[in-house]
Amino acid sequence: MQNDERESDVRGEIERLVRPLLQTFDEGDLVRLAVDEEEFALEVVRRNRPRAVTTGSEGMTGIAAADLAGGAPQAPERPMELVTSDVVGVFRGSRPAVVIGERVAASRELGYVEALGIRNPVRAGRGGAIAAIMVEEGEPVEYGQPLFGFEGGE
Amino acid sequence: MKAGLKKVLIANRGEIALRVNRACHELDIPTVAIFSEADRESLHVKRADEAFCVGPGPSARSYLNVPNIISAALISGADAIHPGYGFLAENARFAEICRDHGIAFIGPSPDAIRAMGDKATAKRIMVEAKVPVTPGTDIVESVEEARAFAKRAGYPVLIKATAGGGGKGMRAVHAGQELEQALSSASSEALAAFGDGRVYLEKLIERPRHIEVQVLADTHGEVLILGERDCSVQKPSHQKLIEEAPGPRLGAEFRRALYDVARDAVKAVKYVNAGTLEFLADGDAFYFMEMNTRIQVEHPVTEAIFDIDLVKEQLRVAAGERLSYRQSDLRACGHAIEVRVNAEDPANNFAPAAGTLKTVQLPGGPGIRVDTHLYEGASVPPYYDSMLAKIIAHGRDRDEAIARMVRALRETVVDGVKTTVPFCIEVLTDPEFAAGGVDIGYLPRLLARESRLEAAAVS
Repeated sequence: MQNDERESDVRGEIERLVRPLLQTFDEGDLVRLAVDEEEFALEVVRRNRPRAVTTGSEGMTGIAAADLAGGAPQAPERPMELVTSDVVGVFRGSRPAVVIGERVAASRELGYVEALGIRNPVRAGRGGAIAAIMVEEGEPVEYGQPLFGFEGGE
Repeated sequence: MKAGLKKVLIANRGEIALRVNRACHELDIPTVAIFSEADRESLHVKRADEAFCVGPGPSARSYLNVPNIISAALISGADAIHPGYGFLAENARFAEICRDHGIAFIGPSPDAIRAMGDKATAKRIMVEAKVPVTPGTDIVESVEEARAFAKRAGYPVLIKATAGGGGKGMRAVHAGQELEQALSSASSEALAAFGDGRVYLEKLIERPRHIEVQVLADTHGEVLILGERDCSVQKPSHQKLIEEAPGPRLGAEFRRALYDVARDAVKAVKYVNAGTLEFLADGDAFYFMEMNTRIQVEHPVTEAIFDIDLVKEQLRVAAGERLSYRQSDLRACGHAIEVRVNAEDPANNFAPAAGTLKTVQLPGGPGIRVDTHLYEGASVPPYYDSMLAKIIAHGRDRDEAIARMVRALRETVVDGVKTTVPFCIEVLTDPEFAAGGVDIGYLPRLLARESRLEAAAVS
């Protein structure tokens, strides 16, 4: 019973995730989509868009800041929209973890920041394609810290 | 000696955050700073071992953001929080929340904070402990009742509205024939302003001095009385501008009585950690006003004359250790004065200023201590207290302390915002201040005199 329930949950989740991805495929940007039901993971590979590798390191935050300032030589046409933390806590990512290039809906919960035992959901703001992941699993985050970057102007 | 705290989160900003940071580092305790987005480049953030942004500029969402502050303490593994002064320093609920999360609040118990934070409760506890309070009545029901009190206490008396504030429903009465009329006009004014016309009477102290006593107590029952400070040089808003220790022109008898009362008060409240009892002094008499349950801005003048580090003692007490002094170890030496360098314009009713500091030259030399978070290029955000620096001068006697302070203020250059420096030089070189023992009406009188002179010069 429990297993069945979980399985149907997983299927529902994948359905929910895959549909917008397929739409994105149609727009021609994505070249590969792998769905792993067992691990409940999705892998999306995007065509040939030069972008900094995102490791959640300080370096990345720096690049993001430069993007925002618009002064970086290879800054994208539109600045990244940042999803920031409004609490001090520890970041936990949703499973499956989102990847760069993935398009997510505005309501999508990308993870949560746990503070004083309370899970404060991190949502995708206005939604769109994820351009940067700036936080690592289990990382302490502060107020205003950028967690995810989205391609602007969606 | 190392205080038994593992890591201290400093829940404050500006010079006091740096002050606490220094005490922690001298005791080899790592520190965690919190800051608002407006303070990202502030010195207290750079000097701490770790730092967390807890909110945007306005204090309500950052330095008063209890969940984010507690969360920062838990994540960083801090086992104690020093609240400094202002912000959460006298918030009993915050002290309780710290305790509930296993974090030591570096200050008194929540009960003591609560009791002293409520004026009526504080006054009742002090009356029970035989601490003198300003003589007064409960709500007066009749003119006869008011007349009887005025006769007993002596004129002048002050009529105050129980719902009062901002001087509404307040009347000074200097003679018996004015009483009835003043009562009815105060009462109707209070009724109009607050919807509550009830009034009470207090003895009016016309030219009181502000004399306060620094106390320090540990959890082992040791109570230290660290002398008095005179903080009578106050702006018209009653904010202190210049403080000194010891209080000038106070007799040995007065001091003995004051310290005995302070000790009784500390015991009555079962007070632990650093605190200050504020009194209004009127000749040989003094009356309890309120107790501040925190470290105060002007604590360095006491540190100077007793050669003690009050903040380090606070850390020890919070760790459950004994104070590192006994009363018999303490001898006051010389005289100390503190001047608050505020980003304010004294000529414009001390209106606060914000901006970026272009040139910053701070004084030094013999007997001078400067506690500040200033540096060249630092910004003064509009959200917070306008104090930029405290300059403390210590000398063998009051004259030397004043001379050092005047010299230090003349060395001080802060360009970019208007400051209280030039005005404080005027005060320190004024013969009335130099004579010592001014009352709290001194500064407003000086300002009025100056504006009259200015008006005369213009016309």
